[in-house]
Amino acid sequence: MTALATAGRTLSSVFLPLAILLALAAARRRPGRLRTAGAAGAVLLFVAAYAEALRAPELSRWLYRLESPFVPAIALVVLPALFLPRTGAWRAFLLVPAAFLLLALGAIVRNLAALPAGTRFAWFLVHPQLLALGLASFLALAGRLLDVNRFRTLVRISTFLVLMYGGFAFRQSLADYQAMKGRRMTATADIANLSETSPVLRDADRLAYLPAAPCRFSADGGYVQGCVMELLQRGLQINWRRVAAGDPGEAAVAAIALAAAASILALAFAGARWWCGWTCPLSALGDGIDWARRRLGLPHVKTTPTIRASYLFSGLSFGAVGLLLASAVPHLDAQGRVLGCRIPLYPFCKLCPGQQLCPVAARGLAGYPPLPGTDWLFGLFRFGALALLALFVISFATGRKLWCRFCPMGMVGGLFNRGGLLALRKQPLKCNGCGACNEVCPMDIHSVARDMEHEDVSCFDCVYCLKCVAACPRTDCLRAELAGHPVAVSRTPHLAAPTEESRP
Amino acid sequence: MFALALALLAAHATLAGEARLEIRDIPEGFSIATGDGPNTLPAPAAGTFLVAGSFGPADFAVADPAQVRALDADGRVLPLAVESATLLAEFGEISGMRIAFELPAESLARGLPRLEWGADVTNVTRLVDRFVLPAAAMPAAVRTFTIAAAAGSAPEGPPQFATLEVIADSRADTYYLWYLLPIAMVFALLAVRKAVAR
Repeated sequence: MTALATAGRTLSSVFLPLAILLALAAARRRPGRLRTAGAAGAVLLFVAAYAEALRAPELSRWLYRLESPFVPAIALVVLPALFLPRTGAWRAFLLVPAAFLLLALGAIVRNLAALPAGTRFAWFLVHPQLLALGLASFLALAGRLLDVNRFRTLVRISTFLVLMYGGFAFRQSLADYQAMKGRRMTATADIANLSETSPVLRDADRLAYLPAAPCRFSADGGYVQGCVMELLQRGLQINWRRVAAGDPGEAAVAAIALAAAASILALAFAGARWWCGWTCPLSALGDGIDWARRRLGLPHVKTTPTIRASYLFSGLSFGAVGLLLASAVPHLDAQGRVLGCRIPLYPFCKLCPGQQLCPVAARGLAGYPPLPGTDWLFGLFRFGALALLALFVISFATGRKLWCRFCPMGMVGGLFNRGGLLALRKQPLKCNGCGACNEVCPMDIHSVARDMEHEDVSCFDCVYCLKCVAACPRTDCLRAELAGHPVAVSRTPHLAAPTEESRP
Repeated sequence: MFALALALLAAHATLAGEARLEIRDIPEGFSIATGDGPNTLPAPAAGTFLVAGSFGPADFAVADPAQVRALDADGRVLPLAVESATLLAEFGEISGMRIAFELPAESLARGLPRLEWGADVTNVTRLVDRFVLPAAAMPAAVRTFTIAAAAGSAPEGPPQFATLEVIADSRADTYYLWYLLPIAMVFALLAVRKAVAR
């Protein structure tokens, strides 16, 4: 393996940003030159050990499954943009994202120019790593000019475009694009029967997931493999008896699923429910509904503890039923039945509104898939899918992000809201109890406003949209911290013009 | 002379790996179709077993299914059938497949058959889309196999422990249980940080 390839592989490890962030957190907890040098040494040690491990072919293959094409963008652009001190060195660093952006745009133009004569428009052909680097660079540069709220909107729109339309608009190469077109012609748009698709990031040896809800169940396959619930179902559908019996195919599936789980947990540890608040395409669709409500001048419903508890309990039940059905899949007979009941692959996904909404968002109303017949588990999949779609629309139309209290994908991220690397912190002594944070909170969280004892006010439901930080009228009362480093800080209104520190 | 040199080279073909196979009765729920049809494997002759099963130990990787051969206890090469639908390619190489071969019962009495593979191994291999076992031969003349524990390795215990032993001793891309280690690390970190935050 060449030095360049080794560097590329090391930069792709999902544990590299984790190592950097943990080292930064340790250095920040007890500042001092020795501590900083120790943290830098720990990261260098990780890099050296990883590069050395790549020299052993079998270890190299094992590690390959723990790498992600998104990680170089995080390591090279996002982390420096967030952590570099705002000095001359930071301005010099801006040349890096500028260079990556030009590189990504150049690659797209070059690929389009290299299309054989007579080839019809093939959208933007670009390697996923370059796309991620280009997108992160664009956002890092734009982030300098925008406040938190506008910046979040920009991130949401950008990631929505990639995750929702990337299945056809950002394929890796012309051959990949044409293969997608071929599949699209023959794919049956059917909720119950559409089981495997070919996302852009599909790889025979590795699957790339994100902790949000980027559904791949459309005819073009989507961009990433899916969300955490898709992965959990995949794990439950593994036939462990066949794995234990030494079936190599099943063992490979198990290896891929377990490695993907490790990767997604590393991303969730670093970002918790930030993924929901900033990148989830389902939530972005819901924001569209919420935007329409606001344009119509309709008020939103203030939730009560009973409503919130009902959503949490219903979401947990929905997740549990979906996973229980997924665990029955290895026991299906030749007719696709277990105990006489017909169950599709990925049963949770067949009920999730994502599988109805994502194809429509990508292809228009013509993309709406036919609903399952009543023969699928006595009509549960037909009526359940419709009921959950209705709940999704009603929740976003009336209660801002009320749906996100129900979403089982988000609940998994919520586990990392406390204890993960991202935290919402408050200085109670600076709080005047105005309640502005609660007013703007789309999740209707009250604890941030009410808690006057603790500094860490992160909670299970928070999606880190940071609207509270932007709305808080007291300087440095509320702040979002990543690995102990402030990434957004509240400002008194007359000082609230975007400053270097308040920018994300 | 040239032919002799070729014969010598063939005799010293470098092996990438070798595994001895323990022959077992077909277990209940063995997932291969039985019946008659175009893909049905030929019924074994009298005094022979038709041995079928999945093969893909961790150190198994070949560029072509023909780079695998089966030998009986006397070292005679046995014709091999490979189910092409089960060819598992990982990292650009074939790392698993379902195979079938006929094994004389009397050779089994003299010792275990073995599989050899490597870049220099050549064999005439018949590719079959999907295996269908001959119904008439089931179950009396059909067997499956497991990989025999290498000499000096831990004694075989109950099946589940034997399996764990194979996993712990296997290499690289089927070190799948080792992926639990980073998962455990993340949860341990989370638990510690939650406790500290409290």
